[in-house]
Amino acid sequence: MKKRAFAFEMAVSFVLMALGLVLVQLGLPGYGLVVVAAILMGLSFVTRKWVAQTANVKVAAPKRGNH
Amino acid sequence: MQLDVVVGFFLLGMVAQLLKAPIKMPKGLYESLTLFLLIAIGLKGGVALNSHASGDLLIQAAAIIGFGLVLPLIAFPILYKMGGLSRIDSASVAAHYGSVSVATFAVAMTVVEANGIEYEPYFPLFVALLEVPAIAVGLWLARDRNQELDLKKAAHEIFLNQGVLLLVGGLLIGWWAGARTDSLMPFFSSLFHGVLALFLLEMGRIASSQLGVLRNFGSFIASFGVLMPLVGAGLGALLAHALELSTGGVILLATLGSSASYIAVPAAMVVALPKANQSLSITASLAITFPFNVLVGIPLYSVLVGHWS
Repeated sequence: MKKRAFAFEMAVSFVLMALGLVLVQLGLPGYGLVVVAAILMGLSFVTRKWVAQTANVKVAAPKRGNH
Repeated sequence: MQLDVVVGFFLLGMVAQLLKAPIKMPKGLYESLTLFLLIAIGLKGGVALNSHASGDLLIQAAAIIGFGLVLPLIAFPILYKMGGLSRIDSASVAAHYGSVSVATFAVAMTVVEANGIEYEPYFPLFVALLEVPAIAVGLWLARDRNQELDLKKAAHEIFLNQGVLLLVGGLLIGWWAGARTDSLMPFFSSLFHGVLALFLLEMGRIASSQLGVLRNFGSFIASFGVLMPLVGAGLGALLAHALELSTGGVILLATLGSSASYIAVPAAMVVALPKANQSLSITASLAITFPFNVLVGIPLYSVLVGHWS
């Protein structure tokens, strides 16, 4: 399910990026979509990294208690 | 097309909150501004209804209700299948995206009027019609045979929540009174933009303060909160085109399709689906979709509709 959500997020980012670039090519204001696509893509990676780091901290905590 | 001046206040609220600079609105002012906007929009639409009521309007109203029923059916499988949310959470968020945001509509109306684009003046009727159907669909999607739903209590919240009541009440008073509302208009019409600017200042602050909650829900909801408005806007524009609405009407229906409720639906969902995660829906509609529509969506829909019409 997590892989499916990640694929969805990437697909949305790429579609927005493509749509934005097409609009810019047509002389229409598509920069907003390009910026939003970049933010979403960055958010996808950053939040996953943050969740992974939080999980590592939670796993490490009991080990310290065993000593 | 430039961003409207009222959007500047939304940005000011967002930046101030991000910089942790204190903008303290007196308690109750935000609620008062919400009441003002709901009544002002309802009243304006009601006065227009008084002189524009026709048989065509019934067909348009039926199509708009159908639109409100379809949107949550599109949103639900994305949330349930792709996002892996629970059935209740998926249904609750879908109901929010099937319903509409009066504040987003107010911004779009301001943009359309500022650019001198004509639109159907009875549009607030469509706003009122789009508030309710999605809630009913959301409850149907969330149905659980093992859980009894207090229909009476749910219906009370669906039809008699503050948003629906004031909007429909304003519409009915405007429709009934017609030109006699002129004595109220110095207050409800002339002050509209100033009140909207104050409201957006607070909205910017609230939206910005909700962004931190995204860490709890992950980036899926952010992607959904941007994709769904674009899907809704596209369908709204197509429907408006099929109904032969004016250029302004196409922009406004696209905006309504793209907006997500954060006043009427949450109030109903708290009662009808108490197990649903309310902060998930509020974060998506308020922190993602509302800023997206105000800063990117509405200017984009306006330019695209203007370009192709």
